[in-house]
Amino acid sequence: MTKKISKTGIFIYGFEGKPGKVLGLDEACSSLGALGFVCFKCPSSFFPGEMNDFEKFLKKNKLSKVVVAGCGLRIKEPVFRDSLKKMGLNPYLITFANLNEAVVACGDKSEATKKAVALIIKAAKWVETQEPVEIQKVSLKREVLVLGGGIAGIETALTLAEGGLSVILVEEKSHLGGGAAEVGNLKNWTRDKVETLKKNERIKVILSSNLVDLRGNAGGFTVKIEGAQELTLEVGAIVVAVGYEFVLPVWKLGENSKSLIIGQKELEKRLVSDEKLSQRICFLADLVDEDLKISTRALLRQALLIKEKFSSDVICFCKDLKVSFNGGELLYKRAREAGILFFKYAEKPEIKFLNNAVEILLINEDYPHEELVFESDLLVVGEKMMPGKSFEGLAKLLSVDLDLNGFFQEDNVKILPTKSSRKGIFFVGGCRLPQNIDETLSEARGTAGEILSFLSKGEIELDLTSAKINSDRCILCLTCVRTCPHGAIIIDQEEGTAKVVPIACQSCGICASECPVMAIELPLYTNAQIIGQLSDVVGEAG
Amino acid sequence: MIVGERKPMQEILDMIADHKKIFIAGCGTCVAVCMAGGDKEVSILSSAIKMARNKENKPIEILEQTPLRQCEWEFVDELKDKIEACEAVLSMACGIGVQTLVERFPKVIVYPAVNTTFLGLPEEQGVWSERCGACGNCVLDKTGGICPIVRCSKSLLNGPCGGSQDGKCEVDPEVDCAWQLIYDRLKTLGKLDDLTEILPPKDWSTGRDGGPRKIVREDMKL
Amino acid sequence: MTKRDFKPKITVFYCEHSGLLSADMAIKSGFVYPESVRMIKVPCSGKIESIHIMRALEEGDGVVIYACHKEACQFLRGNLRAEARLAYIKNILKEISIEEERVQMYYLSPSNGVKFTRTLSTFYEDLKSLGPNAGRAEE
Repeated sequence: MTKKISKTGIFIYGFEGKPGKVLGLDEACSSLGALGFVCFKCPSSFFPGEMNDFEKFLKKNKLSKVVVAGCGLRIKEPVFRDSLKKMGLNPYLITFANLNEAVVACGDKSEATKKAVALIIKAAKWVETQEPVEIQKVSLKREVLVLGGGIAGIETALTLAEGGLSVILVEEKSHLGGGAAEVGNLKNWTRDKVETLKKNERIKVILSSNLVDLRGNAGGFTVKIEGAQELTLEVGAIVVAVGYEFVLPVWKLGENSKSLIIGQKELEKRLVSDEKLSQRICFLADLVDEDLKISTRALLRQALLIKEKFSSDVICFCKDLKVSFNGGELLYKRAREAGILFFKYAEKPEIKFLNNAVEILLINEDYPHEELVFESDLLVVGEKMMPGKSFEGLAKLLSVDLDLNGFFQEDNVKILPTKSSRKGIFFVGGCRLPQNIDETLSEARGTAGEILSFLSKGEIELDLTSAKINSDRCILCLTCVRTCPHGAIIIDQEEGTAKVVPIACQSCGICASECPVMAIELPLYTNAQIIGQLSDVVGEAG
Repeated sequence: MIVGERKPMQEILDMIADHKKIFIAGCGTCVAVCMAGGDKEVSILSSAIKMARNKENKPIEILEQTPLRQCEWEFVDELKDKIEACEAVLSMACGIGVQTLVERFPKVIVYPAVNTTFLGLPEEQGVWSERCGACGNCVLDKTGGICPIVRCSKSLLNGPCGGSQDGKCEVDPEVDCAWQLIYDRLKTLGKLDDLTEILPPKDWSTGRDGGPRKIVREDMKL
Repeated sequence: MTKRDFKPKITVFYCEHSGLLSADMAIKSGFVYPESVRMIKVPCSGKIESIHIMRALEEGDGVVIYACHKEACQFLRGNLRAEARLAYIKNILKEISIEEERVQMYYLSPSNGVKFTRTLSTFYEDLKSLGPNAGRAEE
């Protein structure tokens, strides 16, 4: 081994009980010592004690780089890093060797020990070429831009304001409230929300305006708003809460049959305006969108309302009744008890328009009478929820992606679904996925929470583990700019260089592997480190 | 920029079949941007050749380097040591780079590993297409900024041929008819009248027909 | 070397967000991978460069990539980039008549120790019957 590696210390810890007996740790220490490493076997695995030992070990041997070897270390990694930080050392000059593998392969003690030593050397090799990672302080704007004045935007704005941030809410239309303001049972509630919003001093509402330009990155976006007001602002985060659109499925209708078929949204309007409705009403659900619970809920609510108000005959045709929302099961039960009939269909029912009525022919092999014919005065159809017209332009402006259906694509559905692929930009409510009001509200609050924890301090300490571009090698081919999933690489026109914006970079390394001239390195996973491990494979095995 | 594409592996392997030690020279400009011959492609090619030769039990030694531009004397001079240490050079630059090496190192065998394909731009990440034919006498002012020399399969100068179908070219239905593009663009500009002007037969003496071309700027010469 | 005691040298690149965790789980449940297998962790399968795979093949018998499931990449499209790069490598291998099966990619959830064990063992056995990589450098 080279002299360099002798500066690396090996801290073996947490081997009480079985693992300690399986591995010959003393032998391991002596064979590592023979290679020039400074080894220490930590006797205890209690937290406060072990950190003392760890710090003492580093100080005594004046070590700058260290390998921590043990089992189940992942959750303790930050603790070790903090400890280094506290000592004034760089928290990234450390690697962790997971010896689980050696412990499991315990057929023979000396074999297992050999394996453990090999794993430790592998880790030492990795840390050997590790450069210290700098830490940078970045100031954050404590303002948030919310796009869309529907219930999703309103709730996000209110929660953010409550948490102490200033909010600029921009709405395309001339009024607030969005879709919820048109729904009977939400009308008053929405109006109250809008009033509270308007009274809040931390929230500035700009109506009839749009976002037209965006520059910068998380913590310091520069946005330009145009419309009723023209202004340029700096914000720390952006919440997209714009609304989607309802589109009625296309039917070939004669003039006189147009009044026989309406969408759920149109029905809602009639219900709100207290219009008298016909005696026989059929609902046809799941025709265009089978996956969304939102129309099932509206259907149950509307059907019940009609039944109670006009005691009409109400029949619903559904593919699947989705009641997996809050209170869904109960709502369905109430509808059944009120005498509303539900029929399941697999094939789309055949629909004929008579003079003043609709004839619905249902074929379902599961029913005793395979063919059922219904006559109705009004057929209510669930609409398709379509991406808003502004989505495409907005996505382009924000450099984020739309999904296959044209809605905003979240970064990872499983982690924080309202996060976009760009740091500091979030999607809340129907612009990501049409959903029920309670889901939208919890999304809004959750997102606001995320933003609050990010921006509240007004400053962030960034460990610069972000990708680094060597501008001497860079040929400005734009590959990284185009392939970065997070919009984190920009071309500095003045300096004529490509630059990674550390706050936006998520250290995935995609740019590094795309760069045709190997000008980009990811500090914790350099080319040299990876190739180094490769030669290790060959050197040892076989 | 110059757009190129790596030659098929078999062709490259055949060229170097008799050599035991070669030098692969990349180029850090055009072919690096179009991902045909930059650092990364050089190392991938080197690795592939080594494997192919190991397979035949004829191992080969390979040196690699990528100068900033392979078409400059000063930059290729930096390769001198490596070139002289090898039996042959495999150049991943465009044809210009290959010839720069040949002129600078007259005694060295230089093989091209890249087909120099055209002058074009990256339409999107991973897609390049031709835009200029280097004819030496630009007509873009007369054709709405769209080049009929390279973008029309037949290089027609006065409107489309009969094979223009629904805006596509009869040679390849994937290709836009250049004259359709020219028409659409002039329409947008409100300059459709420009099309009534007949372009005379092109003087190709500034192009390939006039023999090898050369530009001399007396004011720039030392 | 007879086929029987041939131990294929395999390089495993695994994504920290899926492969690494699955491997951990597999190891904890007692999976001992063959000695000639070495693991290299990457922050995302999108970080695995073509040249890393080529180098690993130059000096070994096979390469396995463990990536997150499609549409579940932590970084939106890292696994798709890895997939595209792998297809590129496979083409080169085809051109130089080296078995494409020596490079394989599997999609995993972060907790699929079983799939990890199964795929790696199968791959190991497959390579064993495929024999040593003819393109590998002599030691």
